[in-house]
Amino acid sequence: MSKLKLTFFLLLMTSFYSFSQNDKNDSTFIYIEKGTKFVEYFFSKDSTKADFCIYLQGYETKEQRKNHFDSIRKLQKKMVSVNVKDFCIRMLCIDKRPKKLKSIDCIKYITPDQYRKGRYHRQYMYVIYKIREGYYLKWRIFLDGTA
Amino acid sequence: MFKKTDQYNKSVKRKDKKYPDWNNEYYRKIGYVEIIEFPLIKAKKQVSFVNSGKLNSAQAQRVLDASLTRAVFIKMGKDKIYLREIQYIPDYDYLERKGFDISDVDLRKGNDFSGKVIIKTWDSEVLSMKILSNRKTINTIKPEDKKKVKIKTSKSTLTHKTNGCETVTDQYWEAQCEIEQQGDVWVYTGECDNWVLVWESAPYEICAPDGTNPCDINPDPNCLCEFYGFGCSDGGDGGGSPVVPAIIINDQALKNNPCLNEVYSKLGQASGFDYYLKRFDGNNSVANLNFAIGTLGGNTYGETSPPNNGSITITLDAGKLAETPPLFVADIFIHEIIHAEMFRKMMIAAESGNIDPTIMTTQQQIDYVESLRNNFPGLYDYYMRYEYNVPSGQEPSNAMHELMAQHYISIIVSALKQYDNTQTNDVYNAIAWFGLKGTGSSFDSTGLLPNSTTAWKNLSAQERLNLIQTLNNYIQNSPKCQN
Repeated sequence: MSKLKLTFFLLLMTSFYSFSQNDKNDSTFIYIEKGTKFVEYFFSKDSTKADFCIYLQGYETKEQRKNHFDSIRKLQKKMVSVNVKDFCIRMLCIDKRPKKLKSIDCIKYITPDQYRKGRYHRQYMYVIYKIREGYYLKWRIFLDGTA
Repeated sequence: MFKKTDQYNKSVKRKDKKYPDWNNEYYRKIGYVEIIEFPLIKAKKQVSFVNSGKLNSAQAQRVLDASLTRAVFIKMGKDKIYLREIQYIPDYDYLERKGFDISDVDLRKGNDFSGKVIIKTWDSEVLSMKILSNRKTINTIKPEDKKKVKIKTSKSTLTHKTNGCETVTDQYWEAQCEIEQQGDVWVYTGECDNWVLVWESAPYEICAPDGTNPCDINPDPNCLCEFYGFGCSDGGDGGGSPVVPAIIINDQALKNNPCLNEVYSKLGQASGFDYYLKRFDGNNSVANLNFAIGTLGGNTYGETSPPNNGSITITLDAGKLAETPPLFVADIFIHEIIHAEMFRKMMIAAESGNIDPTIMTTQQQIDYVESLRNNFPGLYDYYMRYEYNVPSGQEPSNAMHELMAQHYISIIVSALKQYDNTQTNDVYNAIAWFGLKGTGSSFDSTGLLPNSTTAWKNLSAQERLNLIQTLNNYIQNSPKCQN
């Protein structure tokens, strides 16, 4: 097999694998770009640490979050047992470099708003962030959470 | 009423006569449990103590003379009364502090008894032995442990320790005493033979507790069944062996979910988890436990609702959990059942199936808070610190999570190890910390959240980052719980 054919074959396998993961419905890709609503994010300089927070509905603004805490405080002052819930879906990646993508055309992604409203929790969770046209970073992320 | 029972009449006919001194009682109420002790007058005094070689014969003699035996009646709920014989054998240091008289000892709040407590059936069968230090259990010795030779204890009070262990023997002493009837009661005349060493056990080793029994480190009213040896879930037939309970736990919702059902079933075999499950027993419990499957918002995997008319419900997000490894699912079960157990304690304090003070009368609120303070001081303290008395400017937090993060990590780790012992300690620790780090938007570069729990803050930055990283790797690289 020539080098060219081998390269082509490997590329085909890789794209098939990526596609099949998505197709098997065991992955979710959340797409974020500058200005995406309801999201806070942070990357380290080398991009190996990334944190994302998707605010839950009703907790998007500082004022809403303050009101939330105020109402909890009032209940706690009456000794009513209140579960202080996270108002944010935390996603993080530590010590792993993101993959660079030139295109996301073949990826079936969702927005943070879709994620928080739907049931998209899968074994493989990814965040794709658009740096600029033709340059995206993809992290496999872990969902921290509450119980 | 007791005098008319077969137990009493049998004891009168026996050689080793023993009579409760009805004129002196020690009463206490813990939640819904009432306990009353009467000094027990016995013609043959019998004392066994743990000999670590520290005491000379004169000191040992004083310990033997000062040891107390009492009859104890434990009333559970409306119609269950258990009878036990309880023996207090003080530490020499404690005895010396008390001026060599411990006759007023009891286990009420504020009492600082240090020494050995032996619980026997009325027929003198030993059910359990505890070593207490300042009223807290630091060692549980069950009769069957003796056969195994190795016995659990904490590091704190015993001398000659090597790696938290020490070698001791059990000595069993007897003395024949004269007793006489004065009116309705029997008393010692003051004449007793010398103490005779009847037997001494082979040396055995006492080691640090393994953390699997929450009663060892967190004694509270819910440990009474264990303390008095009538089985935490049985009908209390006096045998002391726990009987498989008729648990009122509605776990039907789990049956149709292979992932959750498999994890739940396997967890039931782990003593750490089973300990908590047995709190929810239809016979003695004040609470019923329901499991439900639902969709929980955000990244919440499990949730335990406060009691409603005596029912506590644990809701699990099966969809999310199915995407995680079984050991992680096990952690969520354990985490939620600890919540449920805390709610159950609050129900005991409230003496009601609801714990919402806004629907209580003022007097009920006062009684509830007072009972919480007296019977569950740890829970009370955390509620005061993290919910009721939160300083202004500080974000509210969750008292239960603060308490769990501070005191339950090792218990969760033990239960996880019993579920699956193939992982490293780092993995168990990382999983146990899930949900106990705090709340807020995102971790900073040291692993802190905007509203981190105090216990999480108290870890070093490196420890925090390692725990986050380890959990991250474990979840991402382990096979998920299949539906």
